[in-house]
Amino acid sequence: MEHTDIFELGGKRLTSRLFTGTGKYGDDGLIPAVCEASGSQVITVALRRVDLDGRGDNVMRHIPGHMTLLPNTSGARTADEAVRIARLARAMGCGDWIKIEVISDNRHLLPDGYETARATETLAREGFVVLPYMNPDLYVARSLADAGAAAIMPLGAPIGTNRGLRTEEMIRILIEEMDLPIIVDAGIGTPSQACQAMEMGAAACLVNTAIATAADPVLMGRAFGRAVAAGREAFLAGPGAVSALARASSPLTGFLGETGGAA
Amino acid sequence: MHITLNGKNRQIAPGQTLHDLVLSMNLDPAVVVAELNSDIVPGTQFAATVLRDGDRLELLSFVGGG
Repeated sequence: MEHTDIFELGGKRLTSRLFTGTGKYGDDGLIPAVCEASGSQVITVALRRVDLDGRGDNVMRHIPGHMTLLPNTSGARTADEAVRIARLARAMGCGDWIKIEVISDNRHLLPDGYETARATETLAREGFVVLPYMNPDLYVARSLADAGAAAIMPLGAPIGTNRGLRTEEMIRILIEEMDLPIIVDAGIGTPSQACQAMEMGAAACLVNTAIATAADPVLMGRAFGRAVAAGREAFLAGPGAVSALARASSPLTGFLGETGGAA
Repeated sequence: MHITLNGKNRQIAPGQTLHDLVLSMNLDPAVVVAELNSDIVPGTQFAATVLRDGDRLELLSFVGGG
């Protein structure tokens, strides 16, 4: 199953539909084991000024070489800042994927759709594989598609909250209406929530906080990998119809031929 | 001479290249990207880039993020 269901994105052929992150780990040394246990092949990083004083550990040391790097533009408050960060990230020589994140609201960390679309347009024109983080709004989604996004990444709940698929109905609309892959990003707190997103028809899920802040990140990574794969298989299998009334799964005859039996 | 490095004033020896500076700070040039006076300088050009008095330099690297 996992080798026949390929997720093609940005010229890559992915066999795992779980994207992971590198933020919030108590110990970055766990990242290789999480990648291994989860099966994830795409991982996010952020770009910041180097620490001029202390000898900071470099996160790149912990990212296995086979992973596709997805730098984000966190810290950007405008499209111009996001474009600047994206160009710097690409100059690092680790590929041309970029997760656009333009946020000026530090309380709720909600993405600015207008600035995100502007940055997407510029960077797609420059050849980036652009994955914009967005509020699940149909009109924003269409503007991002027009701007050249490779996929769109609607939030399930505000970043880092682990509150689950609070935007379920809006994400369902995006899945129905958009031709682009929908990657649910932010807010997913448990494997069952990731599974649900995949059952709905999401193309992938990005999970950072729920794995990195678990008591056992490696085990949680494995659980998320399995949940995303299970949800994907359920979607491909085509769930049976939902019914308001009971429908017997066994023949509706009595045990020895009389009518009236059930179950 | 003085440059502004990541927003802070810093004194460096004249004639230093970007490569020299990065090494003097115990940084691995392979995991650093630079922005010199608002122009991006990839790691491959660090050795050929001589710093000048008054330069505004940003040195960045990847960190954990979601």
